[in-house]
Amino acid sequence: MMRLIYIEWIKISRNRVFWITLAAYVLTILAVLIGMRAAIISINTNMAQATNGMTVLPSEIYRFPHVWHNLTFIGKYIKIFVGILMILLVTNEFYYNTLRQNVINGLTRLEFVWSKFVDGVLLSAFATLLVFLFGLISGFLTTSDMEFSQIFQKMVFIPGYFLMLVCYLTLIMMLAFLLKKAVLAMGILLVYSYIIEPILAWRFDESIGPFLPVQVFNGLIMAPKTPLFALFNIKTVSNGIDPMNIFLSLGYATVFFAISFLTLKKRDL
Amino acid sequence: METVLEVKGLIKYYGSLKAVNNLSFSVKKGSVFGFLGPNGSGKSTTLGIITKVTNPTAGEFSWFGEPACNAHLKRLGTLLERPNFYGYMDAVDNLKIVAEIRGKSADGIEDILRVVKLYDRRKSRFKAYSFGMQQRLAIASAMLGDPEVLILDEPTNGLDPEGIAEIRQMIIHIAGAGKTIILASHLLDEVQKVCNDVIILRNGSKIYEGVIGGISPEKMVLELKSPDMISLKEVAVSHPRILQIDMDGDLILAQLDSAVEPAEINSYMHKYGVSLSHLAVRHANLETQFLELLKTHKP
Repeated sequence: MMRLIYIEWIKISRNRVFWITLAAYVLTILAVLIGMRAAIISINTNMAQATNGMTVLPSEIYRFPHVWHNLTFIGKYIKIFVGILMILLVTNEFYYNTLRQNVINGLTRLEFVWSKFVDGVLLSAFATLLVFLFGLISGFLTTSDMEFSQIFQKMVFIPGYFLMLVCYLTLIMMLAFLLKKAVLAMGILLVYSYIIEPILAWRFDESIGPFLPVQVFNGLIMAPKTPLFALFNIKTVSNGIDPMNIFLSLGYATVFFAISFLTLKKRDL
Repeated sequence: METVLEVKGLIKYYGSLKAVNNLSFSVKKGSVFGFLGPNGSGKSTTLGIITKVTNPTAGEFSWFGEPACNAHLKRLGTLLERPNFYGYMDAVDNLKIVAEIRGKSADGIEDILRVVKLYDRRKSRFKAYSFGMQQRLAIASAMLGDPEVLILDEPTNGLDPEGIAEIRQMIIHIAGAGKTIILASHLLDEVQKVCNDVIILRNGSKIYEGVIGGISPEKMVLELKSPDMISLKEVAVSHPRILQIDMDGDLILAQLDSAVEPAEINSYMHKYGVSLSHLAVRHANLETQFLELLKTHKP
């Protein structure tokens, strides 16, 4: 396994496009996380004026223990960046025809899929660490009357966020293996996750809707239970993680991994 | 002799196209094995199958006397069709990946880059290389870690005459060290100069297998020239073992029914008063034999 990681590291460390995209992701998520507070204060002020002093969002989103839920919930909407990185890492190998060369040199197809999956796990770990550190620092800065135990209270959302990213990237890895071309994989990903699946989820609300993959992954981090979010749709609000979602997410990730491998196994490179 | 590669009943369909048709052959250890055939005859497909990038429709093959598995691939150095490397990486990093996958030390990288004359450009990115340089990097990659078997598919593609001669020397040198080389080419000259055994493919089927000289060993051609060409022609035709004569420029090409000592022809000419100003054996040309073979195997 260390050998696979080392090989991937040589490939990634020299890849400028990868680092630029990663930097763009880091800057974006930091900007969004930092800017969120200002946005919420502004929304609250407007709301208070319009509704005679009623605020709809907790203005201290960085306060322990809610910070973990709030930040991962926001982070969920920027995960497409990590998805782009994943697409790059897989489709590069088709673009340069190096998948073929790697296999000729003795890498098995299974090892190849593993190495890309491990890329996804490491990317997810990095993205999770980023949110974790941001939460830790902002939590300490904004929680005034803090008890130590508060810090850990809702920390379950951190591993939840990690799991969501890993499963999401496994879906994207499969798309990239199936489609081979970066632009195509990106297009299908966007159309599927932002158009097709939401329509299906809405149309089959009572039946298969909630069990579609992206819905399941996103369902790991539901909206925080605030009056505002509760107003829209009670089903997407939760202050915890449903074990059923964890189970389904892992199931989907396994299936997507298997499809990636079987696709590659059958294909002439 | 020990067999390095044994292929049995290989079949590959691309849709309804039969790219490889029930192909069987074996490669002996230490031999330089030539794969010949026109474009699209199934050479590269066969090499793709034995290096596991292409799945055969049917048939089996074994490496080093064992059913083929991925561990065997690490003992091969392979160059298939065109060089495939990461365009954004330099030569050293590209070879590092190869070394790591094959489980070989990366120490030999600089030496091998010197051998293929890329050392000075080792820090340039692959995509900045000319095609000839890319091909040389691919050869370096195949030779990295001193593999037991080299598989080279059109290795002199894109190289200049000097480069072609260098690669040929390299192949002869490596073969001299007891390594096995499997060489595919549509350039007959290339195969003729370095291979011991050949297999000739046409439309995916084997039409010849064996040693190069054996393709049509019984015929011999002599080049003859004399100041008195008219008498030469007359006398040559009269010789019992000369089947026919052709003109090639100012030379007479005499086809004999079997190998004859040139001295015998010389004294025969002399006896009939023809003095020769040129007498030479024209070596059995693979190209003419090859074309003949293809003609007789028209589908």
